[in-house]
Amino acid sequence: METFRILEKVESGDLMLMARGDSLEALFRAAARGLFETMVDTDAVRPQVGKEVALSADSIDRLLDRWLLELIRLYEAESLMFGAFEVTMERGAQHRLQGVAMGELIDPTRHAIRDRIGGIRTRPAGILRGKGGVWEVTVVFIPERR
Amino acid sequence: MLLGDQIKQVGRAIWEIDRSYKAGMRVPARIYATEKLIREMDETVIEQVTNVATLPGLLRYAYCMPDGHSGYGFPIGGVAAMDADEGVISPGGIGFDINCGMRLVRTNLSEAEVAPKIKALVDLLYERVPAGVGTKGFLKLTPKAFKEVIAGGARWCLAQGYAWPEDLELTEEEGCIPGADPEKISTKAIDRGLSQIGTLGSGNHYLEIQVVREENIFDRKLADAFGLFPGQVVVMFHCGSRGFGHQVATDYLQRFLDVMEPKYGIKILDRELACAPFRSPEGRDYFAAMKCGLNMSFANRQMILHRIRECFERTFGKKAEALGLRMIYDVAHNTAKLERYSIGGKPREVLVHRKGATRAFGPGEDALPPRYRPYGQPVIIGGSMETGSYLLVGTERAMTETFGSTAHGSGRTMSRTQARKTFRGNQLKKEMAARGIYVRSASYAGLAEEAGPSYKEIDEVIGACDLAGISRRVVKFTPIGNVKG
Repeated sequence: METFRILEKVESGDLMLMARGDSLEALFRAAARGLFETMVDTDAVRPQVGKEVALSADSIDRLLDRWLLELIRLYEAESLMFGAFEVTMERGAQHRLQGVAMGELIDPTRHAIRDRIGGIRTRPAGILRGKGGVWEVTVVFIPERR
Repeated sequence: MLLGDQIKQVGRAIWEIDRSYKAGMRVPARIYATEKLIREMDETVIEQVTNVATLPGLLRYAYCMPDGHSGYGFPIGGVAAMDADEGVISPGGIGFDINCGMRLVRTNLSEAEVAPKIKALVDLLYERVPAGVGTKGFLKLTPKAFKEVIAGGARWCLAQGYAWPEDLELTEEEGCIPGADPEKISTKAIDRGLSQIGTLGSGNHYLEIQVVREENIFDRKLADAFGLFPGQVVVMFHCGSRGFGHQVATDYLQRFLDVMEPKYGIKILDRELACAPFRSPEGRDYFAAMKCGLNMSFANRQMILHRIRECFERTFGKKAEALGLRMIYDVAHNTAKLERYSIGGKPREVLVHRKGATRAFGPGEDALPPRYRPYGQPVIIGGSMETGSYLLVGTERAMTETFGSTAHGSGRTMSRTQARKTFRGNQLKKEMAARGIYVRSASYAGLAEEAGPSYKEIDEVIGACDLAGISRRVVKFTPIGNVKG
């Protein structure tokens, strides 16, 4: 199971994402999909290009930040939009992530552009494990204009 | 917003929140607003501005300007002046889009000359100044060349033939703030900025063709001093340091969170106020990196001006010089700068954070171009694409009251989602065309988000600045063409 919901903070214009997954890998996939859903209809993104990502961090929260920020870097630097993700993780003193983001070059004629995300806000609550062992996180994305 | 014992009116458009409001406040907070604006303000603004008041080294007040709304840690519209020796520097007090700012360019063309060609001109600008998501600039830079840009700002553009010498004179910091150090920048930040020079970006970033109407000149002498006359066409645009600035802020926020409490013993009420002592190695590194963001943005706006001049030349068949495409000024919104102020009767070096706030230096300041020194600094404030924008001038009162600062825009009142549900982009485009405003936008949804009613009333924001005396109205501009990111 992996789901996400996008809300908007009225005054600041920031976009709040609530992601859930029945594993950490599912949670990371849901957060990534949610990130790109704020920018484009991800159903319209074709998986023509696969970008491999390898990251590590000393906490799961920080690993999620790095994962999302790396995806932002990839789309900006290479003009790519992503719609599907693969994630494998190895937990330890240093948590490690191997991921693949699949997508294509941005095509404004086919991709209905919504917003452009520049960064993410810190999350005091971090990643939580709720009822039934489901992993949850709230991430706030900062549109580029801020 | 509930006004009561804790939020007291202390001036015609000034409200004060005493230190007793919250434990840990080192100074009171001040909000510049009319009663209408403060009543409409998000309560988060009060929490954020009073949180800022707890930061070490803060001088006089934590300020919020009339267009204030909630932001990352600090409110947008926030001004915080820190003692340079005892205070901190905070990325949240500057904003992610470092040196997001405005540039105003005049022409010697009249509305009558431009109106018949407005569609061709706006279409060409839309094609030549990349806007929206996923756009790339026309410059192909290597990482080495990009480092030269972020060290040199608009000076780099001048050296490459993309600027006129007077463009630099008429840009805050002359388009290149000294002390920018590319070695303090991450590879990721360079990666993100590499293809973004000369691009407008998305969201509320825009390029607008505007007109000076006789009835909208509030100070004829100053309008004349800034080269403005009735019926004249001007160009205004708003953009910043794009993803580059975001990455710089992100990199240092994490670094500050790691050292703030363990190394420096600084406790804050909100993680988003992450900071480091200004004189610490971390603080100095961020200051040098942030300056690269400033310079990147100055270069970005300069490259856009170069493209605008090309577009006018093609549309009107004359050289840009002959068309009088000369800058009035370029102002930065999201910055921290070392400035000198009199504190307790003694001159002191102060680090002024302005986040969604404009520097508004009064007459006689050395930092102003000589031609503007007798009058004060031009202050460019953008409204919504439907309601018009303003040119104001900085005042002596701003120097003594708000560390030379004023508002920067109008601020949203409606979420982007709500705006998309309330307005239809294609309908809005037709309605604006009927009112004489031709718009090109990367998307109809993006256009709907920027509909006029989604923003605070710009006239009310400007009125508050004028009432408080922190800047004075000179001219209001009416839009006739718009390129929206």
